[in-house]
Amino acid sequence: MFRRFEYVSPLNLQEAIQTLTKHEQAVVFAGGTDLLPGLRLKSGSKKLLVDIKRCPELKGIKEEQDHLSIGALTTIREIQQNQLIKEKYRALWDAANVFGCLEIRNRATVGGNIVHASPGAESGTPLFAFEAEVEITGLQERRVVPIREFWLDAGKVDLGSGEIVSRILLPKHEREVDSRYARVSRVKGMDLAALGITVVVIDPGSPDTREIRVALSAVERTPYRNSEAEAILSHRELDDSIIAFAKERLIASIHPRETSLRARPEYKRAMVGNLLERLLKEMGVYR
Amino acid sequence: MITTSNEDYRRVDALEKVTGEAEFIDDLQFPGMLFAAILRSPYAHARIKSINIDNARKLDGVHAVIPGSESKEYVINLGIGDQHPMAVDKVRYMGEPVAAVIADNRWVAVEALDLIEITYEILEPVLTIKDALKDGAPLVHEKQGNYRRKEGGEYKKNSNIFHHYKLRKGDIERGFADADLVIENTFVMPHRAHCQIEPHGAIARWTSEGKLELYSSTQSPFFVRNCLAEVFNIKSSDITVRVKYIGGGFGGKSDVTIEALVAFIARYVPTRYVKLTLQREEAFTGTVVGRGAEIQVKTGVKRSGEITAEKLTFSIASGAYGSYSLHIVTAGGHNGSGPYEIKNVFADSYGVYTNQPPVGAFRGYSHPESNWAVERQRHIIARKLGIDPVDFRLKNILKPGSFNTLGQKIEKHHGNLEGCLKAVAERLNKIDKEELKRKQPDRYFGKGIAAIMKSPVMATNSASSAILRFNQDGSVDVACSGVEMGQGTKTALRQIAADALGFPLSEVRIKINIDTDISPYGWQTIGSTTTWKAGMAILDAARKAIAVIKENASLVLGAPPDDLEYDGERVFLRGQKKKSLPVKDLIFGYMYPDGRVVGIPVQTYGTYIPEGLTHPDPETGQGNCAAEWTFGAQGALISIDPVTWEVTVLKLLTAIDAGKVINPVLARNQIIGGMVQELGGALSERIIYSGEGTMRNNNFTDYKIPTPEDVADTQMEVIFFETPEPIGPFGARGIAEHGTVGICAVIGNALSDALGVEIKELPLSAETINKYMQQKRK
Amino acid sequence: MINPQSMHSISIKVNGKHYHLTIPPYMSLLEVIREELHLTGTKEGCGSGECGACTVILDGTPVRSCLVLGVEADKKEIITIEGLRDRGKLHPIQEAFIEADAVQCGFCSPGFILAVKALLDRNPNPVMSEIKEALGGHLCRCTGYESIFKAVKLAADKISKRSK
Repeated sequence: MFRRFEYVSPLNLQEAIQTLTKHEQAVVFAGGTDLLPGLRLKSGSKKLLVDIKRCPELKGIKEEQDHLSIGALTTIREIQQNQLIKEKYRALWDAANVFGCLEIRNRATVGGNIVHASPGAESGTPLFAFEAEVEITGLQERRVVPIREFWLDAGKVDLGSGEIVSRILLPKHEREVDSRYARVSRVKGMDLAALGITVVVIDPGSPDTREIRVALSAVERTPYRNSEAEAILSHRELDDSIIAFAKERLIASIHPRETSLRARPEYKRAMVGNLLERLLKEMGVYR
Repeated sequence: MITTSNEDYRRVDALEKVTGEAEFIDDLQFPGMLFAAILRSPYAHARIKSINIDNARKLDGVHAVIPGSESKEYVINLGIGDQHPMAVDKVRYMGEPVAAVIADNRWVAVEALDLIEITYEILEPVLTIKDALKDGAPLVHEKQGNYRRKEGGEYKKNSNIFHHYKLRKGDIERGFADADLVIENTFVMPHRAHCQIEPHGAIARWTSEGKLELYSSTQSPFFVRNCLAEVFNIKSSDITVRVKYIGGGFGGKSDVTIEALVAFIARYVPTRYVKLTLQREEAFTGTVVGRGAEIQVKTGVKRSGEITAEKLTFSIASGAYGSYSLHIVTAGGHNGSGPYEIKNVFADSYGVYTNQPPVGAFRGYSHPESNWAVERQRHIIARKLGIDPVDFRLKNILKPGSFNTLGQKIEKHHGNLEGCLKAVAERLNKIDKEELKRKQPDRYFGKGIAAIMKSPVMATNSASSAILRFNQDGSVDVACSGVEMGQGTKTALRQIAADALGFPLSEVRIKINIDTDISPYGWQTIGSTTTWKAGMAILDAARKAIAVIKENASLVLGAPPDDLEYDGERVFLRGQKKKSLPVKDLIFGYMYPDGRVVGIPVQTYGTYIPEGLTHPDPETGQGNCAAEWTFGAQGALISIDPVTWEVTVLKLLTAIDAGKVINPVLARNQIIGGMVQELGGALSERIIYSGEGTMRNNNFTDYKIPTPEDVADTQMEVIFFETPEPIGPFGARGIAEHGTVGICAVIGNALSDALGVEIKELPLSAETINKYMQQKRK
Repeated sequence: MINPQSMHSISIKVNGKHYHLTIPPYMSLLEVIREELHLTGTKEGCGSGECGACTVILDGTPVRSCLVLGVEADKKEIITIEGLRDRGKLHPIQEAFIEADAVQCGFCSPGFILAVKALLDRNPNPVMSEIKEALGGHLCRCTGYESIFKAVKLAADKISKRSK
């Protein structure tokens, strides 16, 4: 059972934004898979749920000139079923495949997954490593911010009152790109990631121009990249000593929480290195 | 003898359950029913300084607000009278009820909880056995001496030890002196949650004449009735307990859980039904938890592999109230050294109060705990001695003629442990690890084995009973003690009734629901005892029914009953089949064509009580404490991902001497269900407490039980041996819990086999394995 | 007690029957089904979308009814466990769960059965990975799942035989 709240379901984005602006207790309600469990036991002031699922502006995956536009209401299931995402943004597709469970994927939205800014959010590291941008629509203006600036802290994002995440923009690849997502979890079925890692390789075939990005979840308060480790891995042939060096620097730079329920820091540190190596091997850039 | 057509193995309850018709506690609605919500302590250990309920009372729709202090007069005593229905002056675990609201609906009830103001003085919590036993440790109960105790057992004043059981067999010092090698290890098993998918629920109503009507998701309707009669100081016959289907029990709905609480608060709104259905989080923190054991084992062995001595200290972090684990502690001492004949055994088991939810029964009842320690210990010793772990076990196991730790003589009819061990070993030996490694060179593979045993741990007077009532259409209705919670006992009992009467299954109906006003008495549905004991009661009732049918026939046929034969359809004169009467015509007496009736209606009552059980001797701890034993062996094949250390279970197997398999399909699935339940404990389950003693993972998000994908690639095998148990129906003995017993040990032993690490803590998660592998590499 | 201003009217079709209800916004679809329609076959195991016992089919898609609001179901079609029988005859999935002994305490069974129905409706011949995906978020504490996997395969066989 939920604690009591009020509910409205505006028919378009402007109406939704106006409602959010007017009511102090208003919260955006999309898939509800993160929001609703939090409304069960906790006491607190009565909220107004603004159901945005009827806003047509927030739907659909579209190829546009410079990017792939993903409406904030796109469900994880839709990501999982999108052929273009599977081919071009494989890590995001990988993450969608292990996200919650089928029934949850049918409801959870990609917008919801990023606005809750959970340090372990499944879609966080792929979007981060692809350098996605977040389109935010407010009463007066529409702005676009890089996703790394959007996450301010665990559970905290750059979203003013009355603002809604309307789209997520994935930049189009100018060069060949391969990517993978891997995670560790406590059980093989439905679970949250104890640690997630996305590796994006740009120009996988040519070591000189190759760029490697590594994004981690659940090791810092927001999804995390380390430029030093990425620099060590990029623009060169990978051998054991380079991998070892990159792993060492990456691991030394992270501060996993002591109190995580999902894994101890020691395990996370070990897995960051092990999974990085595994994914690089899987993509054939390191043997 | 027992019915064997495939069709007949279907569960009696399956149809209702696949259509959604089966009624569970939360499905029940009554006119004018009110809803309760419970304010629970956020602290593990604190003194309640004040409770202000004034604002909560004023909320529209609220019928009553009850502070826990008002339950002071009422004591729950299942062995130790250390608990009230709600916390009175201090809270002893996070989740303990401190106040309650009864309202028109659940939303108002929880809103009223927000308005209750409580001030606490926080006390230092005791969260581990070690801390609880330290000198000067805070006391969970300051005045143990004031509590009324039902049975013997020692406790230590001014300490957190509320129960001490000791077992002494032989001469332990001499046993160690005789040993070539002495090995000592400590094994721990954390608290776990039962995670029945149905959360606990109860509905209570006090009538205007002061009688109590209670619906509950309990495994123990008669036990609850007796307990509540004591709590409220009324006659047990003034209490009616009704149980519909329950959505999983596993011990976590046995004894009493929320019944005293709901009955207590319902007194404030006489004549109204009051319903409490726990939220999932409350099912974790507000009922009982399981396990929580720490076991030290010191074993003396000869080079030849003979075990000469074993010293055990078995302690349970029992949580805030002791009664629920009293017998778990004792049984841990009974069974601590496993199914082995060891001449010199010295065991102490302790129940230790901690500021955690009380530990209660959990499928296996101290056997999985002690098995985890002793079967890991056997494996470690065998490796040290360089002896095959199966040969080492076979050298020491209980055989006909051996005496177990309790001093009971083992006879052939107790079951074929040797056969079970060999059967599992043979199957594991057939698996070629090198071959598996060739196919997947990047993974590790390991095999593990364990011997298992379990006895029901029960009251010496734990009776069962059954009623057979015949209908005019010739069919029979069976009512017997025992709650159907998924274990399938009602299906097996129906088969037993059909067989005993020689009736086709279609003519036998079994009553599922229990109503203590009219249902036959049964102690509790626990300990894998229902098919056995209620089965015996049914056999007794069937014998009596056949006798009455024959007596009725004898009046008509003019021959003494002893000269008559009964075949389920007809009663006839021995040797003269033609001179017969249909059974159908005899069950309300026999009516002649002119309407004259002779004989009496057939309705019989059968009973069973295990004979000769005793309490343990206070000095040696020995005695006839176990009515029967079930022996077996378990094994596992696992593979391990060397990158993440994630374990994949490729095979789980159990060989068990069931005595007689009544229903092969259900029996197999009971064992499999037990294996997978305990696999959760082996690989992922553990209750996590904060340093302040709050339960941090009281939900399925962070308390991870096995999911379908965890066992989708696991091959399950169950091998039944059938050495008849003389005191069981058709030779059957209990098997419902046994699948759990050895699983932690077999996975631990398989990890040792694969990786060469001896892990002594649980769960054996990827994270734990990583820790041990890092230590090994250093 | 319930502020009348915050009541919402909804029209839903459940198991082929139309209902017009007035409900508060905070009532989950699960509560609407159980408490307003008295269809108690759908169970609450956790209230947080973690166990799957409350799974129903909403416009053809399996969802956790504890994480859907009743108001969201307005103008939608819902199938619950009570809607599986066709004029009294068991659905092949129900038959398969009985025959494979895939039911023990039965509390999780309605959710499993509806997840399987949604799976077989979209894919009558699923491979193991698809079965795993469909069941991945469903918890059963009794069976150990082996018999449930068997039941899914048996149900698929039954359905494909019937459609021939």
